[in-house]
Amino acid sequence: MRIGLIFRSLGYAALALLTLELAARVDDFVKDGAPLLKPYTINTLFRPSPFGREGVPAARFGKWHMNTLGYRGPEPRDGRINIVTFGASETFGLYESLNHEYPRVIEARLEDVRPQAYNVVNIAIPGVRIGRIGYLERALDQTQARYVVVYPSPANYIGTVTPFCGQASTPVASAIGLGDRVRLSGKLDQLAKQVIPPQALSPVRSLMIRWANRNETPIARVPEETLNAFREDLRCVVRAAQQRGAAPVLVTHATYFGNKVAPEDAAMLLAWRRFYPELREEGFLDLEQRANDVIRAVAAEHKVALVDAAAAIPAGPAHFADFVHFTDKGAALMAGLIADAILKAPLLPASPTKAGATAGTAAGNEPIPRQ
Amino acid sequence: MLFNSAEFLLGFLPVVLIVYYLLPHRGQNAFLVLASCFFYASWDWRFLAPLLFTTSLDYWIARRMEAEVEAGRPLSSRRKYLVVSVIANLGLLAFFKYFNFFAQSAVQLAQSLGMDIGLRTFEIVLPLAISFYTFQALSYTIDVYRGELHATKSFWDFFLAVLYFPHLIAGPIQRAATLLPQVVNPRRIHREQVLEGLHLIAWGFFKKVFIADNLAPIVDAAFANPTPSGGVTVLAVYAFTFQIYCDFSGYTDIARGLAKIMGFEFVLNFRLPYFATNPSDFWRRWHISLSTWLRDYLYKPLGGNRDGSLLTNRNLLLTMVLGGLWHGAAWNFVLWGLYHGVLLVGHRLLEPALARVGRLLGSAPQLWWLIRVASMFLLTCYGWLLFRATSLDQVLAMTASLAHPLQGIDWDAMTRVTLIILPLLLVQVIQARSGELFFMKLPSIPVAVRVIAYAVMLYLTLFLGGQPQSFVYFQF
Repeated sequence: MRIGLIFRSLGYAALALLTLELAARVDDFVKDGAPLLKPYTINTLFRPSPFGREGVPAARFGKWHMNTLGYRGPEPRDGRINIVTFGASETFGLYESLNHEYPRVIEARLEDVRPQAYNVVNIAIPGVRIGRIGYLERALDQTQARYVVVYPSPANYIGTVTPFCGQASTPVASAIGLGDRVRLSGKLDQLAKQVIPPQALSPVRSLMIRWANRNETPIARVPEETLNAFREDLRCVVRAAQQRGAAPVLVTHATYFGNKVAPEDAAMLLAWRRFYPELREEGFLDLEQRANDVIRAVAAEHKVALVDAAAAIPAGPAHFADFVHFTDKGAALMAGLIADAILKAPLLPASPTKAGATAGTAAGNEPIPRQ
Repeated sequence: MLFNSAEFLLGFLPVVLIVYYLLPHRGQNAFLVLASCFFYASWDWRFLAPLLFTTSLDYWIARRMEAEVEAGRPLSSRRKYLVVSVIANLGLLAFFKYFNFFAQSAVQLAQSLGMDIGLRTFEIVLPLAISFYTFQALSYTIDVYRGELHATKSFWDFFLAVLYFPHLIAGPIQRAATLLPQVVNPRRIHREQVLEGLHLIAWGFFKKVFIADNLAPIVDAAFANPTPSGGVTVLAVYAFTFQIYCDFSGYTDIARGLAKIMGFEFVLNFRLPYFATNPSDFWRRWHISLSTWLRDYLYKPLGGNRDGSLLTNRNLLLTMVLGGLWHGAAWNFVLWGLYHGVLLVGHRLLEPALARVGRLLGSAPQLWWLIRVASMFLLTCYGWLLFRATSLDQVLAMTASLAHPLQGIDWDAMTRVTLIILPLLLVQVIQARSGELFFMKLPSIPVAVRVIAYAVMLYLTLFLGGQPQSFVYFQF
């Protein structure tokens, strides 16, 4: 009798879960035209490539649309100067409303000043380290870009001491896991982020961090070797851009916290640390400060344009949706700073291969492996 | 701390329920007093002061009246206490809620007559739920005065009956006669009661989050239109009719559900109001706890229908105007109350004629029912225009636009509203046909279908709800 009741209850629970999953799929299908049976998450926008990861041409997920080159945003239009924005999720855009990520706003700002003169091609990939130079080189060759906006995410270098630039790239394993196959889990995750205040999640995050560090002691400060690796990669990016006739615009990294962490923002810092548990909280702003000094130094060393976003974008929730990602307002401010810098930065002489070429006529989406 | 907030659902409620179930009866009551104080103070702790004053005074007055009864003194000996209670309760309500309204109205009237009466207004913060708890406390002293209820000996029991958090903010208005015994006596929680409670909570959240909150932006945009066409007005009224119902009845269902899972029973507040066939029927189905309060403590003391047609109509009009004013200190609420008063009077006058039409259509009773329901629905909808409008100018502009109801109509928006309310309509038809408000317990609905229905309801609530909005009736 009791066993029958247990089985019946389990059956009804399974039926409820199945209904919820089906509802999630129908919802995505109706709203976005998403496939009913295939995975449909932000991870489906990317695939392994010889450079690590790359965007899937014409992939879509919610507000994120990839063009036929596999970059976020519309197709570059013929006859315009291409500007490439290179960086991680801050540049790719996460929280901004549709077409309000800063690369799109740069394009709109430039359009206001010089109509039909520029395309902005957003080649950013969440989690990318700028030392993945083969990926950048391919994008530059594809787009024949004349400017490269580089907005590196220093935190992605935590735990590394050697530059990526000189290393042979290897494909990164597909990020599509079980969580991406169960549609409901992604939706619950999003819902939890929306409704649960960071303070309430802090105990859980602390536990996760402690668990991640169970076998080793976290460090209080990233070693100098990490900054050296970051510096080398940045130099590498500048050289690669200049060799291809693209003027680099380096941008210092801005965060929610500014120069110091206010006591009420401790939960936000912990949320950031969850992705890099090996570094203690006090090490994050130290890393930011030192990495920004590196960016300024490399810009001066190579005499390239510098946008000091870290100094210009005010800390706090008006400009940042979380620890580093922009709100619409933050993205607009960032875009304004970069657009001004581009309008002031002189074009480099075009490299022989790109004279007269524009995005529409440039090489297609054939990968050009860096060996 | 709104019912639809994360801090309530993930913090306050689980803690309250766990502790509540672990405690014995008296401990439960003491804990609920603390929890309810915390709940109310989460808006502003200063709101507790007028609440404490009202309940303390009414408790003391009720005890004094009880002493008069025990001493065998006549009803008249209790009158002075009742007068103090009425003046204190309504005085407090009048000061907080209506002082500025009447002062401003008097100043405007004087100015229009070319006079300066120099009346000042004050920065008054309206204590949340004052209209609700004032009526609840007042019903207690009136019932004790009438000898219909014995005064309770425990202040904390009375305090809890008024303060109990599920009904405190927006009702249902609980009479002491129904709630106090549930506070005083040990409560037993039955499985059926818990199941119905959980169903009410789920259905209430669905109505609030999926329907009302999704309709809110459509309503706000339509009422914000400075030059509304007939189509805009039709959309505004159509959407608001269901927004206000789902918002308020959603809150009530959640409140009743919460009470049920703690072993309390609250009075029913809504019984398919848009299926009403006439104005009297509507008020037997809409905000029942308020309409019965007004009937028992205002309409009947005014004379009710005992003194002839003319005085009955006067009493109806007066009751409804004051009922409208109870909702808020603004002339559009007065107008809305007056409108419903006129509908009630009009229906009384037309009743014989309507009965004749009914007899003529005797062979098609369903058609006659449909005509009456549709007519009453349209009249109710127009009433909501008066209720929701922000000024008399807007009432006039929107009313005038109804001369061309299809002009500039946005069929896409109308379709969206219809799709949003579709689940409600489906459920209400089932409820109306079966006569069972707890529709999920109908034996004709197999368990597997119920599970699927709840899962769909949960999905729509969690993932397709509108931007969280406060409950409309919180302002009252």
